[in-house]
Amino acid sequence: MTQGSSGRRLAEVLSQWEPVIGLEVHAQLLTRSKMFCGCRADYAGLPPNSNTCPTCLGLPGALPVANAAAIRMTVRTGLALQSRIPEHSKFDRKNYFYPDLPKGYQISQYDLPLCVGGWLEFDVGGTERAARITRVHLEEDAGKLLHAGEIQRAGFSLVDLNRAGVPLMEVVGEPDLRSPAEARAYLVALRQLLVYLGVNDGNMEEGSLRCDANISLRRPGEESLGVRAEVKNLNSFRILQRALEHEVVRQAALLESGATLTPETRGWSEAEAATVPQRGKEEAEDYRYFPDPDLPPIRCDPDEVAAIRSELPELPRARALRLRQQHNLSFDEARGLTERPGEADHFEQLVAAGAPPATAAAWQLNELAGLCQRAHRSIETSGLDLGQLARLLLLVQRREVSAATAKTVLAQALETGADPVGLVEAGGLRQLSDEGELTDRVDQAIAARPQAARDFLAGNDRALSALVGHVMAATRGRADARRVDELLRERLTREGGG
Amino acid sequence: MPIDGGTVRHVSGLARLGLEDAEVDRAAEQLAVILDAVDHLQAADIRGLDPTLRVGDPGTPCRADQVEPSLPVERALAGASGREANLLRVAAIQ
Amino acid sequence: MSWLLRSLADQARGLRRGEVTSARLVEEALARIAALDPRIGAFVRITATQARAAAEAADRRLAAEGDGAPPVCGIPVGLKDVLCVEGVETCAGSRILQGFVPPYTATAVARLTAAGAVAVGTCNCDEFAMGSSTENSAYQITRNPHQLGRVPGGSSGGSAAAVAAGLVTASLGTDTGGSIRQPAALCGVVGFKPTYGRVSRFGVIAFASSLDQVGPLTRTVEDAALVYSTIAGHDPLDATSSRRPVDDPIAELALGVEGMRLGVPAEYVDGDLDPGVRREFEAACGRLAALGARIETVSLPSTRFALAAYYVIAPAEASSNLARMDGLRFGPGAPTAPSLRAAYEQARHAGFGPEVRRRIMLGTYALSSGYYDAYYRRAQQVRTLVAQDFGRVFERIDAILAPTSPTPAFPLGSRTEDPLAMYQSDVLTVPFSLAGVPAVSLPAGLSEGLPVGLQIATPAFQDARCLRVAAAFERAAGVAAPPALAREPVG
Ligand SMILES: [Mg+2]
Ligand SMILES: [Zn+2]
Repeated sequence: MTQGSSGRRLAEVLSQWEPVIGLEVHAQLLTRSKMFCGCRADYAGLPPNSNTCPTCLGLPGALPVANAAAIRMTVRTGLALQSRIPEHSKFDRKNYFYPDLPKGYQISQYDLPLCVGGWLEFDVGGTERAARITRVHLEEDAGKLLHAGEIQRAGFSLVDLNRAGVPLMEVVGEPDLRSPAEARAYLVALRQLLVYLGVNDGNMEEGSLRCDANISLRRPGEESLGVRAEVKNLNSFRILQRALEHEVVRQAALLESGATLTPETRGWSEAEAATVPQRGKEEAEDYRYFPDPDLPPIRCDPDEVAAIRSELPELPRARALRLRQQHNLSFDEARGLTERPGEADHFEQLVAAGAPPATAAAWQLNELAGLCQRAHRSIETSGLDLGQLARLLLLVQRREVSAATAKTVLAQALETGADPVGLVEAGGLRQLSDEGELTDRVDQAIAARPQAARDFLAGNDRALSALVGHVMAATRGRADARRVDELLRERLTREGGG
Repeated sequence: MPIDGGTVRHVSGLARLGLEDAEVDRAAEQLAVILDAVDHLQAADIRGLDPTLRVGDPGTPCRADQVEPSLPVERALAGASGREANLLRVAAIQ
Repeated sequence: MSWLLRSLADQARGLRRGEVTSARLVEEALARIAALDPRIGAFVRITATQARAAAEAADRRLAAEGDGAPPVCGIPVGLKDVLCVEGVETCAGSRILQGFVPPYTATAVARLTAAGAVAVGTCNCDEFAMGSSTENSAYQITRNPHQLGRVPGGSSGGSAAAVAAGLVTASLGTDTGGSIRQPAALCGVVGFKPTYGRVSRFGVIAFASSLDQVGPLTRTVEDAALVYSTIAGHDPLDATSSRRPVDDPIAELALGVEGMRLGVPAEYVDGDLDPGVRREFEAACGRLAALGARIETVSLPSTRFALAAYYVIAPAEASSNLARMDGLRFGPGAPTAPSLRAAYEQARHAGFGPEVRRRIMLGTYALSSGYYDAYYRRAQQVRTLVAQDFGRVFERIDAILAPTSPTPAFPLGSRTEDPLAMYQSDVLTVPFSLAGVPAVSLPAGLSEGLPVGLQIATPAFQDARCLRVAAAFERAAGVAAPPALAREPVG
């Protein structure tokens, strides 16, 4: 992430100061409708202000009614984070004026959130870590403010309320993270978990997953916390880490100069590659939270909570562990395959269809991933028939089809929808594994390229690749390159020695 | 409970009431009288009592997650005091 | 006698017997409004064209369905200015909502009109239902038809005066701390606040959400029951609306009070009461005793805190409910303001009257950091205490009796400069609001020519019992006579 002198300065600061970081993550829930009205939760691509109704426009007399699915999704998330689900919860009003907030208050949860406590496990630098969760609560998103030109100079702002009222789940973490890299790893793991749970699409670019960070520094071993800054809108993994790294260095410099820090709100400026102060509110924030009288308290029935728990899917870490054990995969492979639930499903379906697990894992993570990316498709939507793909991978494992051939036919299959094994057969592309024929081809190559043979025997190992290349060209890629290499060495050393 | 002009200004600011200076003193006087009457609450013995969160029926009435038709833009923005195409136009945030 | 001075039940019978048509009732209502309302000011808006069309539709329906048509079919009604009606400007008596035309109709109104009732216009009220005299409307004041120099009560003063003067047969009001019952008492009509949650609040411009309830104002108890049963019931658009089935109040009206135990809270009659009010209330208790009820003195000790709790809770909720009045999406706004802050402040300063401003400040203060526990939280705890008082009394008592208002209608302008004196008008109605129980006010005699109200309250969801006690009293005492003004010949 960081290079050069700034990287050295960061390392130096991190050796002398301990960052204390906690994240607040807002996730739009994948419900069909908004939190308190029947407008669509998925507002992407809709014309401005076409996804509103009296309730989310905050018209007088319109009332909110809570979306049961949003409550269930939040409880589901809490359960996956080992949170406690109290029987009694409620919605509160957070009062402030802003044009993207039509009612003049946001319906949120103050002192009785749906989920309390818990923890999130994540990996950083190959070690397992866990950070505590403070709470998970449910609220409503605000509309979007579009500033005409430069915010300071523009005479006006424009408001689109399509997003107003979309269910927003807030996951508040304890300040348990001790480096920008840990913060990043935590967010990666949380995003993955939410996607696994089917409660969020994980799209940080579109803003359906958003992150704020609290950060302060203290000397290692110190118990008390330093003065913290809140850095808002860190909406990619890269920005999160960079902003926190910048903040670590900035705060250390101030503290080392003897300055006294005051709590403040900052944001990330891409242009300045720095965190910058956000313009302070005109008065101290006083949100005047109180229970929303339009929404009766929520009772989470323990039986319903148990039912939600019983429907939890296998979570990413458990799945990775199982795949490792079941298919004898490496840690990295298992983690790679379980990054998204759809990919893990694909892998397991592939194995169920008869693909050898080791080959399936390697191919899905590398060749197939690359081909799909080039075709602008995801692995789950590649369109490849799982049975056909499994048969091809079986041929690869048995070395009846070369890797090069398999890649070529897969690319074609992706494009045309053809059966890749059919392409192998039709093109006579099965790997040349007949030892007699391979030996003939090797001998022909030595005869055709005597200089390369001599160079090799003189000790120039690289000369051999010219000979391998010759064989591969002569067999139109069907030869097993590894076997060709072996045969060439055998023939040449025997001849040279004899 | 005495309430001073500063408090009235703060409260008026939070509520965006835009009280003019001449109105602040009068408001402080009236609020002081009302708060004085309301202070009577402090005499109630409310030890161990939960605040009322609801009257009426128990239970959590929720809606099923179903999409209902939204308003056409023209109706949604019919009363807007400022408008630019299909967007609400508001004075710049300063 | 004008059809409009008869009861809704009588009119309904007349409509079914072919003695009158809805069209004629509506024309009569419009004529009476034209003739009398300039002196009263009950209506802020008349929707004559829509009303005539609705009356014709009602007549067709009556012809087709006869006795099967709903009882309110064809009946001219008035709607308080806080009830949203699709396509009809609705302002809650406030300048800040001038020009606001809701794209939806309040559920209570929708049920009433779906049953064939004909809305002829919008009734004046205190701005955002905040007041007890209807002097806080930004548009006009409303006068008491019994004495034009006096207030009709509030905040549903227009709704009460309209029924009292026979401008409409029935009206809808809203009651937060007494806003149906107190004007009903002061205007000499029946006003019923149902159990909280019994009638949907959807489309009701909110004052205090945990207290607001829609209810009827009518000439008789039976009429109130007819309108109430039309508008009551669960509404999926209001999360606080109850799913319990609605008891049929009509069937119980005739049951009487013999053997019932009726409680008179000592605290309510020990306080300051106008002598005439006290006299008529005692007479009313005597009448009910003569009907076979047992009248007992009960104690509601926390009542003395109720008004203070109400004047914290209601303004606190209002301060938040009224935050949406920002002039951006509806209302006149301040389109030329130089900054957003200025736009908010100009729109809200110009848009809100003094009483609304006062309550927003009070409520904002009660919720603000450092004061929340001492005011809002404590007030809600006191509310629990008040509810416990009622719970205890209702264990052994079937209904509570109380005067509705400590005084009859007071002179216009007499309390406008003294908010506390105005707030005292609600002292006898607020406790029932805090507890969320049903309460009705009905005429119980006169004090120096001005109507006095008897208030009857029952446990939550015993709305039918509440109306049953009221009906028994009304049968014994007779339906109150309309004011002289209402008996003037029209047209
Ligand atoms: Mg939040
Ligand atoms: Zn909506």
